[in-house]
Amino acid sequence: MDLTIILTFVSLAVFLILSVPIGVAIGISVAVGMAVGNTLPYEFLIQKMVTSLDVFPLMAVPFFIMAGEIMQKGSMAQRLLAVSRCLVGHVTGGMAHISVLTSMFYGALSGSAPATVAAVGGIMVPSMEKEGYSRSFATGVNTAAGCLGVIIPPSVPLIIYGTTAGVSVGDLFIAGVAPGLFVGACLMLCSYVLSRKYGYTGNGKRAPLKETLIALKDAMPALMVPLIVLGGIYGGFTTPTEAGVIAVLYSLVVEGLVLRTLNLKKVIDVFRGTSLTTASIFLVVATATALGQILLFYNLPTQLVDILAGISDNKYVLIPIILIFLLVMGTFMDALANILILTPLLLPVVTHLGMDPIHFGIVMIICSSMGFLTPPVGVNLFVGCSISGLSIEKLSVAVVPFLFTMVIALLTIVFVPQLTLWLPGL
Amino acid sequence: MNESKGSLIGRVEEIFSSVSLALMTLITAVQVFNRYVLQNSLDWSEEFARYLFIWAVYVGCSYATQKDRHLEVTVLRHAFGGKVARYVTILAYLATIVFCVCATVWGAKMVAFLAQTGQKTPALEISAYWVFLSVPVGMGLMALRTLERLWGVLTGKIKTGVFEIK
Repeated sequence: MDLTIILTFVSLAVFLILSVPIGVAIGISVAVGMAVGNTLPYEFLIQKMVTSLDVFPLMAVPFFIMAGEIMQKGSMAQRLLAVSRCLVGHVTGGMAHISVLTSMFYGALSGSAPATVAAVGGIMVPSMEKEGYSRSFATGVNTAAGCLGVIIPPSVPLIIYGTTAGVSVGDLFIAGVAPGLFVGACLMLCSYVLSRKYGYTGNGKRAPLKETLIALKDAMPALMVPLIVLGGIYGGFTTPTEAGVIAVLYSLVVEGLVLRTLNLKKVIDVFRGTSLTTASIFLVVATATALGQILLFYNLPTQLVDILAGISDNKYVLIPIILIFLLVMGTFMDALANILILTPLLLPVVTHLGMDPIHFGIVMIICSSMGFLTPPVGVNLFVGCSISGLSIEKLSVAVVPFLFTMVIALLTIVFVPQLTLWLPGL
Repeated sequence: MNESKGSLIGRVEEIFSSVSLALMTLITAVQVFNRYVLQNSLDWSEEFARYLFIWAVYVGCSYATQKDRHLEVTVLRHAFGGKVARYVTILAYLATIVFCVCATVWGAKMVAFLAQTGQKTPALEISAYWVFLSVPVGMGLMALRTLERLWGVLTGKIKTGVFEIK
């Protein structure tokens, strides 16, 4: 590896640790690389900062963030919770299952993991404590279940992966459904085992059918969102970006005109919140795309393929190495920056091993969502701490059994590609 | 913290970026309506929405600085706290200002270059520099807002190392 690349990465590490905004730190490292390499003009960075955002599929991101903000201001989370309570409340560890199932529902509305923790955990952690669950278990379940927010489509990281890898975002969304449900089921199994151990029971008898139907009817406006979004994409009627804008309009109409949970002030807050989140995400996207291009310019992907091919040609050796690498990177780096920088590097390697780019996308998203649960850069942990008052250290320990479960789920998804690929292949 | 109420200058980025996003949503909605209901695709809407998005992002970057909402790796600040957090924050702000000023200068050069060549956008046929202008404007504003926060830290108005989650 030559000096330019080494200095680029060293400066990136230094400025990240200094808590410079991630997008700026990446931008500085690109500038350092250009200064040392002395082959590209600095205007290249500016050009990339504009052209990397000038992509219509990327605009699905602000739309899904906006739709999420609208639904967070409304009453959708409570309505979904009532449905989950009727369906799984009576099982051993009922409240934990309610948390996971509601996170799955909410994941189908929202494209963000921390937002899912905030929306579902914000309600569930206090009520679980009231019913006798320990605070660390309650927060642990909800913090882990928040990952379903990005695994189950719509998903912000999946959109970013799709545009980076040149894979259809629509196909990725469809592919994410089954693995998302699978991870959710694994988390429920894990909470069942833990609840057995700690002696948490369910809340009595199964809810009568009538009550379940009423809960379903009340939650209909929320349950319609995934139907519209995924239905539109799956049926080939809409692109993900168009589906995103439809989700925005739909949730505005439902929350504003039908349920009357929104007023003008809240709508203005939605736009404000969306612009803050969008800007903070896309500064990273813009500069990380530029960094990816620089690495491509210096042939790093081919070098990496050669190095890995030198180790072994067996995919049962190489894929675990790649997974460990992704998981380690996920603990240190922001998920989106990881996806943008590592996708161009690793995609040639995994396609060489015969892995489908869509399959790899889902694997990458699960790996990066696990990074949300590990310090130092675990966004879910931060939200979990702030809603429960638990320390980062305690919460990091509480999520360990769930992380372990996710590793097993991840390995299953990696080595059983059919789980991911059968739905988009239909 | 650092709530700037009322004054228009304090809210320029907030208003600009929010309005751009709202307009982007409206235009894309109109586009979808035209395509699926009226069966008549618009040729300018997608490009216009994309450019609004780019402007919303770069001006929004300055707004995010104001509200301290940029994604950051805050390990060092939280691990040590106190004095270390203060020095780290000051260094981070200085580095951010240097980058933003550089990006502003390079961006301005790019805009000047595009103005010279007279390049136009494909659908709207406006000068391409209107799109690229978002980078120097947004990064320039972000440099100023970071300077404002740096001043706040130096004078003790902004506390560093405080664990806060929005």
